[in-house]
Formats: sequence, structure tokens, C-alpha cells
Amino acid sequence: MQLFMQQIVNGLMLGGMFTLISIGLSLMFGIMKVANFAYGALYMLGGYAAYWASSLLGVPNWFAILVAFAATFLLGVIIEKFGFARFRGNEEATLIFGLGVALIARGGAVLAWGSQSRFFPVSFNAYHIGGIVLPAARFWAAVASVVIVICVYLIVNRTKWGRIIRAVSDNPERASLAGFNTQLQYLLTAGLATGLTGVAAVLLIPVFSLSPAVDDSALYTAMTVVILGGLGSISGCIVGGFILGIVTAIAFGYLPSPIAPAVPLLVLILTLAFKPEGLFGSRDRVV
Amino acid sequence: MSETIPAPRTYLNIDRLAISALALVLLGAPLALSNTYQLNVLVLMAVNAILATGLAIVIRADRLSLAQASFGGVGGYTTGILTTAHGVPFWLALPVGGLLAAMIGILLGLISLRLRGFYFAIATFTFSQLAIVILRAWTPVTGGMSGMFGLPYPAGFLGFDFSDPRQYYYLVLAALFLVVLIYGACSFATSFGRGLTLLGEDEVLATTLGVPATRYRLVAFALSSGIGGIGGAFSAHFIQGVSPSDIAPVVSVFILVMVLAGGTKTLVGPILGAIILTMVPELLRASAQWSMVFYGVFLLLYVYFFRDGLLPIVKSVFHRATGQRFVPGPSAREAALIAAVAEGRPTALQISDETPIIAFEDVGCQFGSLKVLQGLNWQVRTGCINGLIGPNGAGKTTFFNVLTGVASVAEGLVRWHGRPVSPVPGEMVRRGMSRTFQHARVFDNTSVAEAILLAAELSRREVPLGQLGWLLRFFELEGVALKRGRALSHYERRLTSIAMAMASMPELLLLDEPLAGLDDTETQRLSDMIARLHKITGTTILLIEHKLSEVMELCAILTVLDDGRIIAAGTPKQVSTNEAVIEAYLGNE
Repeated sequence: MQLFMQQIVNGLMLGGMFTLISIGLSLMFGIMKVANFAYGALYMLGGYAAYWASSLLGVPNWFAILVAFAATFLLGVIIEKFGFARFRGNEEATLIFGLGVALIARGGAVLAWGSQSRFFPVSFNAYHIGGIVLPAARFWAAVASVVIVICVYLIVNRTKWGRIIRAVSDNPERASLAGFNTQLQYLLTAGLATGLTGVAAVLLIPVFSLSPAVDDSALYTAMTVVILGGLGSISGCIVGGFILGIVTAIAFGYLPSPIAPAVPLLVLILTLAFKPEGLFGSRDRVV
Repeated sequence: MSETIPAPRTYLNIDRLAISALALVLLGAPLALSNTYQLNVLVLMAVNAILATGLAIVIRADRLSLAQASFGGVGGYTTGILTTAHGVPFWLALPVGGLLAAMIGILLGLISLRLRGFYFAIATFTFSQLAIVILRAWTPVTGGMSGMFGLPYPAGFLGFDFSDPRQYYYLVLAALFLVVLIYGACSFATSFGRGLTLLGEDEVLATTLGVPATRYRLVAFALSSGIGGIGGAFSAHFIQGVSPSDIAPVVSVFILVMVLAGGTKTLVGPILGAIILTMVPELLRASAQWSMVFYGVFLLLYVYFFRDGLLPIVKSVFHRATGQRFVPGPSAREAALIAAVAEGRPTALQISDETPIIAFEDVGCQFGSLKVLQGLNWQVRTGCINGLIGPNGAGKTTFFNVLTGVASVAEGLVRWHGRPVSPVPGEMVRRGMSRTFQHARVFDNTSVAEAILLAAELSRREVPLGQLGWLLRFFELEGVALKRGRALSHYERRLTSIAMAMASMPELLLLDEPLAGLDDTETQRLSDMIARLHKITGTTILLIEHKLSEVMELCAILTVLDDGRIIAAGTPKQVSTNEAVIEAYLGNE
């Protein structure tokens, strides 16, 4: 029982972090209808931006977050402007473009910074509540994740700008006739979506470490969460993130360690097999 | 408008030329090289060509797989384990590896092939991650992250010694030759291949014409993965080892890049891609990281500049340099059809059976909770042009979709010649019912003549060539017979789509707004054609159309649909004076 409760708590923390990793991908799917295969690479680049900002320039952590956000925001805008915008509606070209960017980023990162893992200096403090251990780094990363995800949810669903981007997403032509600059809205959304991956990277590097190879795991984690929740649904992304977090934590708690990593992958494969539209998505976009 | 058929003399078959040149280079290459390192690269290249050609099979069917290297791994590990731990000879282990890869491909395909492209790509990507986890978890057998070493060379026979890289190269080349033959069978040489190709061009249209999409894709994926397994085995036993890094997702992406570079339109495209993308990083002496960047840049160049592969660019450069133009002449099939135009004559249907060809009993159809059709009792009048009219949103297209099996029947019964059936798209064509679409759908990369031939072939109904020749003449399409779908005008597309639907000699032809988007002259010409087509062939026609004056003129009997129900039926005259119909069209004041 003690182990079970511990793994549930771990799962909740992991779930918050998984949601944060995925929220940008979810926005890109939902608002821009783009399947971004470069997502993991952008996450990795955001992590390096923050890492170098804090270790070379010695800036404080909150400032490193801003640096990462700004850097990935800019990357997102560039990729949207010169890539996704040109291939809108052409799924194959979008997919291949993303793969190309990911390869360049991955290869370039190894060339520039080497392939070793890097760590942020973090505190190894832990809180103890009734026999359950909460490592401080994980705990605060999870709390920050939840706060950020709630902010994104509120921005998209409760603000004027959120209404505009949803209108653009719903029917770009009509939004454009209504006087909105759809190109600009797409650029801003792309910037925000990838900017959030940068923020996610900063918050999660202390937990997961950083190397050029994190792009694959970030990509399939985000894909799993987003597909499980249903493409483009932010609430789906939150639910998907927590389900994956708890499933992963339980798997690592109870299964032999070599087999446990297969469980999150099986979650995705089984979702694709039996409910490809996810928990909150509609089926007609899938088949 | 008319285009003369190029005479054979001015026509140089570049593909045949390219294949011959390539074969010479591939066969001669080891003789020109002496250094072992270069020979090793050559073998690697031939293995990549096998993997890429295998992958191209499933890409032709419009599914991008990101797991080809993993299937290679299945083959490599299987033969590796069997030969080292169990002493099985390589030549026995090889087919086992290929079959196992094909079976895993079928399993993965059953889950994911019905999904659209992006989801399929994700499913294969996840599979390749899963494969690595399994290898790591199964360390006692697979060697975990460090992999397996000391795999034996294949036993020599007939005096061959495969520990010599030159001889190993020829062995892989022989395998590549067989793989290319399979690839040919999957692209144009067999009915299966032609169906698969059309599936890649337009899934909805191909399915309507009778291609069993799921089954064909599954077979394609099984072949593709099986070939991957064979390629992987050859690779593992050449470098005498296999490890998880050989099957990383990024390696699968590399193979994908090779296929895209060469293009899937020609037989040797994937091989060319494998040559270029194996050789260039080697020539540049690029490190693994630089190769990765190189492949990435190549992918970007691909999406920006050459989405049809490099071959068309090569052709245009050749054209500019020599002034030689490569006008593709008619294929033997196209030529045969064009020759049949002159003596082509229609085969009139024998209508012996007076029972309605198709009928609805209390049919309902719903999407979620929305009832689109309800309580429909209806039958087609055999030997007539039947009309189906109604305001927008009345459910007319859904009516067609139920008939053809695209939408499923929620309640009630569909009867075909009196017997209850549950319509499935491909099967309805075989029974003798074909359809056109509101947006004139044709195959963009297929010539008009070829499209008509394929429509007849895929229906698996015995249609004489004379009938097809006659169709070409009847629809005045001889002049554009060799034009591809994308080069046709809207009117020509419309005619081609009806000719394709007629190519299976259907008892019942469904036309979904055939006159939409045509100008007055074209409308007049096409509605005359429909009337004559009906008179000459005796085909029963069911027509959805918004141009009411043409409907009144063409149809012997009309059914009026509103809000998912039949509100009136009868002759055009009866219907046009019906109160309910007038109300539905004009609204009640």
C-alpha cells in the first residue's frame, strides 16, 4: 500500500510534467492542424538555450526560463514562417519537413555540444509527508507544470486572443474575411507552442537530464499524451498527461526495470489500435 | 485540344535507359574498386537499396513507415540468434528472419494501416522504440545495448566464398534483383500492383472502383517488412554483428530519405536514392553527426524543391543538355485500347430480370445522434433514368453512400435483385453498380486510357476491349487519351469519371451531380450524352442533380428527398405539381 501510494504521488507529479511537455504539441495540432515531428528537437534546443544561459552567463533560473522561451518562440516563428505555412494542408510534406528539421537539430546539437548528458545543479532536498517522499525538484517542476498548463488553458479558452486563434483555427478563411490577420495569428500560436516546449525543457531538465538524444523520448511522450487525450483538446492533453504519468509510475514501481519502459509505448500502440481518436477527439479526423 | 500520339521513333524510353545504365554500374563497380573499405561501403549500399526498395512498396500505398530499420533488425537478430546460439545454417535462418519480419509487419499493420498517414507514421515510430526496449530487456539472448558479435558469413556454395566482400556484394545484388522484381509486381506488373498504386493516388476513388484497400495495404506492408528482414539479415552477417543502434528510429528515417530522394514512380528510384545517400556522406568523409545533418538538409530540399524525387530533375537536365525530349509514348496497354477505338462497339445489357436491381426497406442512417436518413422505402426502376432530387442537406449524397456501402445502414434492409445485402464499396462494383462523385474524381497521375482500362480490370467483370474503345469514342476522349488526370479540363475530368464508372459495364450507374460546374453548352452536351448512353447500353441510371430542367427532361421517374425522408415520388410531371415538393423547395409562407 505504501508503495502504491508513493507511485500514485509520483505518477501525479510525472503527469503534470508530461502535460507540460505535451501542451505545445497539443496547441499545434489543435489550432494549426500541424503534426510537428520536429517537436522533440525543439524541446531539446530549448533545454540547451536555458542550460547555456544559466551555466555560461550565470543568470538566475527564472531568467533562464525567459531565455529558453524567447529562443524557442523565435524558432517556432521561423519554422512556421518558412516551413509549416508553406505546406499547410499537405500532411506528407509537413511530416517530412518536421523530420528534416529534427535530423538537422539532432546532428547539429551533437556537433556543437557533444553527446554527453548535462545536469542543472539541483537541490536534493525532499519533503516527507506521512511516509511518502516528495523530491523537491520533481515536486516544484510538477507544480510549475500545472500552473503553466492552467494558464495556457485560460488563455486559449477565456481570453480575447484565445477566441481569435480559435476562430482562425476553426475557419481561417472566414476569420480572414472578418478582418483578422491569420498569418500573424499562426505565427504567434507557433511561437507560443514551441516557446512552451522551451519552458518545459527548463523545468524538466533537472528531472530528466539533457542530451541531444532526448528529442525522441520527448516526441513520443508528447505524441502519446496528445493522441491519448484526443488531438487538439487541451483538457484531453491534461487528462492524457496524468493517465500516462500514473501508468508510467505504476509500471516502474511494480515491473522489472527492463520491461517497464515498454509500458508507456504500449499505451500509445493500444490507443492507436482501439481508440485512435483519443478520449476527447472526434473520429473523422483519424481514419 | 487533340494531341497526336508520338511515333515510336522519336520516343526514347529513359526509364529503360536508366535501368540498363544502373545495372551496368552496379555489376561493374566492384571490378573498379580494390580497397576493402570501398568494397564494404558498396555492400552497405546494396543492403540499403534492398531496405529502401522494400520500404517503397508501402510508401506507394500512401503510408509512410518509420520502422523499416526495425524490420531489418528483426531479420538480423533472428538469423543472428539462430546461427550462433542454435547452430542453424544461415540459408535456413534467412527465410525464417524474413517471415518473422513479415508477420510482425502484419500485426503492426492490422493495428495501424487503417489509420491516416500521420497516425501510421507515429505507430511505426513507436514500434521502433518498442523494439529497442525489447532488445534491451532480453539481454541474455540479444546482448542488450551492446548487441551481438561474431555472426558467421553465409556458407558458400558452387565455389562462392562469401567472406570475400566482392562475392558477398554479388550475393546481395542477386537478392536486390529479386526484390526489384517483387517491387515491379507491386507497382505495375500485376493487377495487385496497379490497384495498390491507385490506392496511393486516391484512396476513395480506388476503393470505389473495387480495390480492397485494407487487404492490399496489409499485403504490401507484409512484403515491405519481409524484405526489410532479409536486408537486415544480409547486413548483420556482413558486418558480423547487430546492435540496437542499427534499428534506431533515425536509421529508419535515413532509409525513408533514400526512397523519397529516388522517388517511388520508377522501379529503380529507391536504388538510386540508396546509392546517392550512401555514397555522398562517404565521399565527404562525413562523421555520423554530419551525415545526420546532411540527411536532414536533404529532406528539406526534398520538400521544397523535388517532391517527385530526383529523377525528373535528371531528365530535365538531360533534356536541356541534349535537346532530346522524353515524351512518354503509349504503353502497350494504352496502345491496344486506342487501337480498339476504331472498331469499338457497345455491348448492350440484356435485361431479363424485372425485379428492381436495388431496393431499400425501412432504411435509416445516422451519424452519431444525427439521423440523416430515416424510414426509406424505395426501389430503382430498372431500365430507366431515375432521378433523386431535394434541397441541400436533404440526404442525397448519404443516400448514394448507403447504396455504395460508404455509409453503413443503421436500420432496415438493402436488397440487390431481391436478396438482402450489406453493401461494401468494392463488392458493389463486382455486383454491377458503379458511381461517380460530385467533384469529378480522376487519378492525377494516370492517363485517361489507362484509367478506363484499370476501372474495367479492378471491377473483375469480363469487359470486352471493344466496349472500352467505344466508351473512349463515345465520350469524345480519344484526343486526350494519353493525358494524365491532372492535365484535364473540368469537363474532360467529368467525362473521364463517367467513362471510368461505365468501364465495368454496370447494370446500375449512380451519377452524383454530373452537370455541376459545367457551362450551358457543356451541360447540354453532357445531358445529351447521358440520354444516349442510357439508350445504347440499357444501363439503369440513378441521378442526383440540381439543374432541375435537365432532370425533368432526362428522368422517367423522380424521388424527392427532404430532411432524410422521401416526400414524393413519380413522374417528373406528378412531382412538379406535388404540394409537399413545392413547399420543400420554396418554404411555406
